[in-house]
Amino acid sequence: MIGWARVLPLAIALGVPLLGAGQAGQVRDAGSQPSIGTASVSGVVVDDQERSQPVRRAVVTLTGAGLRPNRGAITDDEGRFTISGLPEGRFTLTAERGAYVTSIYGAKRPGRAGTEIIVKDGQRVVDLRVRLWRGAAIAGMVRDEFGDPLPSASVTAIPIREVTPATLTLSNNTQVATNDAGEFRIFGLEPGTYLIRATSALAGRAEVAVSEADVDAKLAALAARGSRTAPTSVSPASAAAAPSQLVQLVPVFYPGTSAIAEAVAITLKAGEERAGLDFAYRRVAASGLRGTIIGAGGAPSPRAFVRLAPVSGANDVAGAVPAPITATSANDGTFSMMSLSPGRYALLVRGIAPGANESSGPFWWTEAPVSLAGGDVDLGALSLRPGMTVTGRVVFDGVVGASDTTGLKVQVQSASLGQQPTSGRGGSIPGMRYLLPAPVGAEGAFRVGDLIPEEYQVAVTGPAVESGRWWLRSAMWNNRDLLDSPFRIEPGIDLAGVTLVLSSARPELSGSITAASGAGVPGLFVLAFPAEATLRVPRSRRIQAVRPDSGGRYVFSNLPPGNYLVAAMTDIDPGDWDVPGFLDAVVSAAAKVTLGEGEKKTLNLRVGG
Amino acid sequence: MSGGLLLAIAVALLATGPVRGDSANEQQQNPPAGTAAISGVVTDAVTGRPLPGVSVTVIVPNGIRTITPRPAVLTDARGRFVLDNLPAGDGFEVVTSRSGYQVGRYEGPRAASSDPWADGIRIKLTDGEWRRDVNVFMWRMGSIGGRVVDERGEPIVGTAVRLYRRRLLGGRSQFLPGAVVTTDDRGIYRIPFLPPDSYYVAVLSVQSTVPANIPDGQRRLPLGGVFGRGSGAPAVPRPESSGVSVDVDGSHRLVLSNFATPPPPASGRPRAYAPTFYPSTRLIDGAQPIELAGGTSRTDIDFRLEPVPAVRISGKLSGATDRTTNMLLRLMLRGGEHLGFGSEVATTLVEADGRFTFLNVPAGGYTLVASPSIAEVQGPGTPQGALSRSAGMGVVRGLSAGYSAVGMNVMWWLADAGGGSWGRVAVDVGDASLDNLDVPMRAAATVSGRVVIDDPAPPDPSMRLMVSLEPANADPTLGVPNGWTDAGDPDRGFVMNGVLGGRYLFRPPPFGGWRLKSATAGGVDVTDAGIDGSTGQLFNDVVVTITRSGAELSGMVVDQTGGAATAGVVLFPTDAKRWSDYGFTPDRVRSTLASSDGSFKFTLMADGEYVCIAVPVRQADRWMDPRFLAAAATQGARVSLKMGVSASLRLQVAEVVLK
Repeated sequence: MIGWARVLPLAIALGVPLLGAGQAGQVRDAGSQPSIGTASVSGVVVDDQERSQPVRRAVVTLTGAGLRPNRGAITDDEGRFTISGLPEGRFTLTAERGAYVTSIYGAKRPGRAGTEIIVKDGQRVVDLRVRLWRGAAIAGMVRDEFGDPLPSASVTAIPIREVTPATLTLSNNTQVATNDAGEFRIFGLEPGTYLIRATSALAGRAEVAVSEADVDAKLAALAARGSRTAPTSVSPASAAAAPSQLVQLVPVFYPGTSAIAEAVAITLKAGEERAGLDFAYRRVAASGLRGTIIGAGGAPSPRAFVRLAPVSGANDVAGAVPAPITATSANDGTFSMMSLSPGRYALLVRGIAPGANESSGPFWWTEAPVSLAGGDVDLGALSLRPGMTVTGRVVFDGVVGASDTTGLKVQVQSASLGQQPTSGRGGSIPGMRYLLPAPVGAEGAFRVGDLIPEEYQVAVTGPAVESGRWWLRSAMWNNRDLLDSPFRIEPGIDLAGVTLVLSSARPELSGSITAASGAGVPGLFVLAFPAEATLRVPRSRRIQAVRPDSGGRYVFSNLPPGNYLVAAMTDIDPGDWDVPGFLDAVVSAAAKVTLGEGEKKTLNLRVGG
Repeated sequence: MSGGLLLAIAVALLATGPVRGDSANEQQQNPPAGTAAISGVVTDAVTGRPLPGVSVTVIVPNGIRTITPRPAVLTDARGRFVLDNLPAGDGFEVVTSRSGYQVGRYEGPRAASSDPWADGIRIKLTDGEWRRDVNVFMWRMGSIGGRVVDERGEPIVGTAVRLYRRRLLGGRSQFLPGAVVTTDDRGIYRIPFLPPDSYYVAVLSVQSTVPANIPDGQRRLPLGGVFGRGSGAPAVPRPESSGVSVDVDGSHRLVLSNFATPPPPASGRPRAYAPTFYPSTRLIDGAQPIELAGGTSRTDIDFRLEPVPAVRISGKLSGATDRTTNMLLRLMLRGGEHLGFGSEVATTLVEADGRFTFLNVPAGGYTLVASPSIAEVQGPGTPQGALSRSAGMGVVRGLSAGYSAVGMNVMWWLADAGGGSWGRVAVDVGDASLDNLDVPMRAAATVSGRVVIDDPAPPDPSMRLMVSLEPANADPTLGVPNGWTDAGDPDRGFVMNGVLGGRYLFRPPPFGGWRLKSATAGGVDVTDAGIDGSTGQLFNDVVVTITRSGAELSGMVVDQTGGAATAGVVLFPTDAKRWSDYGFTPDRVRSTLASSDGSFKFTLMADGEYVCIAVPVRQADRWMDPRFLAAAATQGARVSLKMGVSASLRLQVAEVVLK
C-alpha cells in the first residue's frame, strides 16, 4: 500500500522560467591521492523510536565525488561522531549498524534517498542528526513433507511492491539457510512487503518416492520367489509392481505452496519482529519435456537454443521466479529436459536460419506454451520461423541531407534485460537477447532483424552520440515515440518506417526550492511529468524525480522536450507515479513549464508560507 | 567407523582448470542389473522413530560407484526400503542420507547402536539372494550455539564465530579450523551439523588496517581474515574485501567486516576486541573443549567480549622487498599461526616504501607473518573451495593414507605467482606502541627440474603431470608448492614457486597410480631428507623420479573361527622416525578396509621393513597417531617388502590398546 498521506504535493509559488545560467562545475575525480581539507562534519546517530535514543557503535561513512577515499567513523556511547580533515564538496552521509537498515542522512524513511551535505572550505558542519531504523526480522521453521525440520534449506525474503512489477529493484534480497532444527531468521529487513521462499539444498535433484503399497508389493514379490533358486533373469514380479514416482524438491513459498500466485506476502513495519512463520516443504512429481526443432523444409535444426522459463501469476516478482532451464538441440533436432517442476512455462527456441552462419545469424525462432504436472510431455515438431524486423532511417535534426553516420549503430534490446539477468548460455547466444547492433547506412537507413516477441528499447550508439554532440531525441513510428516507454514486438508484425531523430540540442531543467524567506529548502523531492495525460504511461522517460541538495537546488538533465508539470514533494518512491491516479492528484499543485528543443530552463519552486 | 568416506587424494589446480578425477564418468552410468535384493528399515537412533524420505544407496568398496540406480530410492512413510535388481558382488555397503543426519550405514543385525561411529558392515550378494532386515540407524547431527554480547550486555550482531577441532597431521596434533557462522540480531549463533567430537569455539576479531592512499577501486586486496558481510548464514571466508572502513589516523583506515565494531578511542587510547576462545581466553591452548555427544546440541556457549586497550605497531620490511607492495601482513597469536583465516589478531598491507602499520593491536605475544602463501587445513563443514574460488589460484589437497576419518583439505593460495618473499618475526606488545619494527624478508625459493618416469611404457609427454612439495611437519602455512610439466615437453620440466623456510618433501602426481621413487637436488638424494627453502641453496636441477610399480602385500583377515572378518588393516614402517613428519600424505603408511571375504591388498609400496596389523574398522584411521603406531608395532606382524617378491599375511583382528 502506498502511503498517500506522506506524499503531499506542496503548494508552490511559481518562479519565472529563465534561460539557464551556466552549469555548476562538475567535481572531477580526484584520483588516488587522498583529499585532505580543514572542514568537518559531526553529529549524532539516533534510532527510530518516538523518543529517539542514540545508537552506539554505528559506522558513519561520508562519500562524495571529490572525496578519495571515503571517510568513516564509529559512534561513541552517546551516538556521536566527527569526521574532520574534509575538503569542500557535496557529500552523502550514511549510517549503518548490524540489524539496522543502512540509512542516508536526510532520508525520510529507511532505505530511501537522502540529502547531500554541502561543505564549504574550512566549515564546521555540526549537529547533523542521522536516523537509523531498526530492521524488521522474520523467523520461522521449514519442515519437510513428513513434518520434520528441514535443515540447510535456503530461505529468501523477496521484497515486493504493489506497483507495476517492471519497476522493481531487488536490492535487498536477503538469504539465509535453515539450521539443523529447520529454523531460519532474517533480520535487518527494510520495512515493506515480502514473499518468503524456501529452497531445499537438494532442490532439483530427482529421487524416487516409494509408497507403502510399492514396498508391500515388492516385499510380496520377493517372498513369492523365495522358494525358487537362482533366478536367471530380472524378477518379473518386481517389474510388475506399481511404478514408483520420480519426485523432487521444488522451491516453496510461505505458507507452503510452490505456486507464486498462492504465496502469502508478509508486510513488515520498521523494527517489527515476526516469528512463527512456519511452513512445509513437499516433494512434487517431476516432469520430462522433449521435442524436435524443425527448420526450413522440414529439416531438423541442430544446435538450436531452447529456453524454458517459468510463467507465474499475479505475484509476478522478478527474482521469485526460478531461473530458466536451457537445452540445445541435437543433430537430429531433438532436445530433452529432465526433472522439471510442475507449473506453466514459456518455451522459446532460437535456431540458426537455414544455411546461415552460426555466429552472425540470421536467427529464427519459435515459441510454445508448456504446462507440466508430473510425467513426461512430448511437444512434437516445433518449426522455426524468421524473426521480426525494425527498419527505418536515422536523421540529424536541422541538418539537410546526409550527415556523418560513421560508426553509427542502432541497437534494439530487450527492455527486461536490466531486470532479469539472463542465466546460462542464453545471454551469450547471439540473437537470443543481446541482439547485435545494426550499422546505419550512409543515407541513414538501418535494419534490425531477428527479433522475437518481447518488449524492447531502442538506442543509437557511435562516435556522434558518445561525444555528446548528438542525442537521440525521438524514435517515431506511426505517430508514436518509441522512446516514451518500452514497446512490444508482436509475432509476425514488423516495424517499418521508424524515424530516429538525433538532435544536437539537449534540454535541461533546473532550479531551487526556496521558502518564503528565500532560503533553500532541503529534504524534498522534485517530480516532473508530462502535462499531456496521454503521455503519463508507466516506465515513461518523461516522468522523473530528483532529490535536491541541502541547498534546495535540483537539476533534470535528460528530459526530452515537451510540456511538463513540476511539483515539490515531501516524499516519493521511484515507481509511485506508475500507480493509477497518483499523478492526477499532483496536477493541481504542480507548476507548468515547456521545455523546448535544447532549452536550459530554470524553474524555482517556493514552498510554505 | 568414523563417518568418513574413502577419500581419494584430490588435487585440483584451480588456475589451470580441469579436476583430474577419473571416476566422474563412471558415476553417471547406470549400474548393471541383477537378481539380488536388499530390504530394511531406517530408524532414528535416538528416538527409535522410522525415518521416511531417506535416500538409500548401495556402494561398492571404493566408495565412489553405486550399484543402486540413480535417482536414488527414498524410504516410504514407515521408513522401509526395498532395493531389487541388484547385481551379485562383494563388499557392498548400504549407505543412507537425510538432511540433518549423519550419513547412515548398515551396522549388522542388531538393535540400535549406542555409538554414532559404529563400524559399517560390508555385505556380499549372490544371484537371487534377498537380504532382509538390513536395518540402518541414523544419528541426527548436533550443534553448538550461544550468544555473544559486549561489555554492556548488548548483542554483538554479525560477528564471525568459528569452530576448531584437534587432529593429528603429519603425526603432530593441530587445531583444524571448521565452519564459520555469524551472530544474528540477537547476538545468537548456531553452528549446525556437527558429528560427535570435541570442539573449540572462538569469536573472531581481526583488526584489518589499510593505508588510506589505496584507491577505493583497488580495495579488492587480500586483507586476510575478512569474511563476507552476511547475516546469520554460514559465512564464507574470503581473503579480500571492499568492506566498510573508518579513518583512524589520517593515513590509515580500519576495515570493518564480520567482527565486533571496535569502540572509538577512549581518552585518545584505541580499544579493540581481541579474538576470544570459549570460555574467555585469548589462546586456543587454554580453551575449554566442548564435548558433543551424538545427536545433541549445546546452546549455552556464550561469550561476553570486553574491549581492551590497543596500540599500533609500525615498521618496515628489509631485505628482499622488491615485490612486497600491497602484500598482506598477518599478526597471528604465537602458537596459533596455523589457525587459518579469521584467526589473525590484525592484518595490514605493505605500502610502496616497505613500511607498514597495524592499528588497534591488543597486548599479547604474536608472530608477524609476511608470506605470499596463505593456507589453512580445513575439516569437514568448512565452506570448501571458497578461498580458491575467490583467489583464483590455489590448491585444494585432500589428506589421506588411503582410508581417512574426516574430509580434510589443505586450502592454499599463493598470492604472488612468482613466489614472492617471506619473513617472520616474533612481536611482543605491551601497553606502548611499537615503531620501527624490522621485518627481514627473503625471497621464496623456486624449485625447478624435470620428472623422470621409471616405467616400461611411460605416458606420452603430452600428458601433463603435477609434482608437489608438502611441508614435512604438516604446517599448512608453508603451503603446497607444485608444478606441472608442459604438454609435449619431452624433458617433462617443471617449476614450483613459493617454497618458504622449512623442510618440504617431494610428492608424486596424485592421480594415475604414481609412487615417488626418488628425488635428487644437485645430484644429492633428497627423497627422505627433503629440501628447505631458507638454506639459500638453488634448486634448479631437481630430478623427481616416479614409477607405477612397487612392492605389494596381500593377505586375509580372519576371526577366531577362521572365518572372514570385518576389519581395517594398517601398514606402516618399523622405523618410528617415519611415523611423523611425513607431510600431509604419508608415503609409507597405508590404511585400508578388508573386503567382506577378509582379503586385503597394498600396492605401490617402497621396499623396506613394515608392520601390518588388522584392527577394528573404527581404528583404521588411527594411523595418524604415532602413539597408536607405537602400540600397534608391538602387536602387529612384521613383514619385509621388496618389489617383485610377493608377500602375504594372515591376520586376526585385534584392537590396539594404547598404553
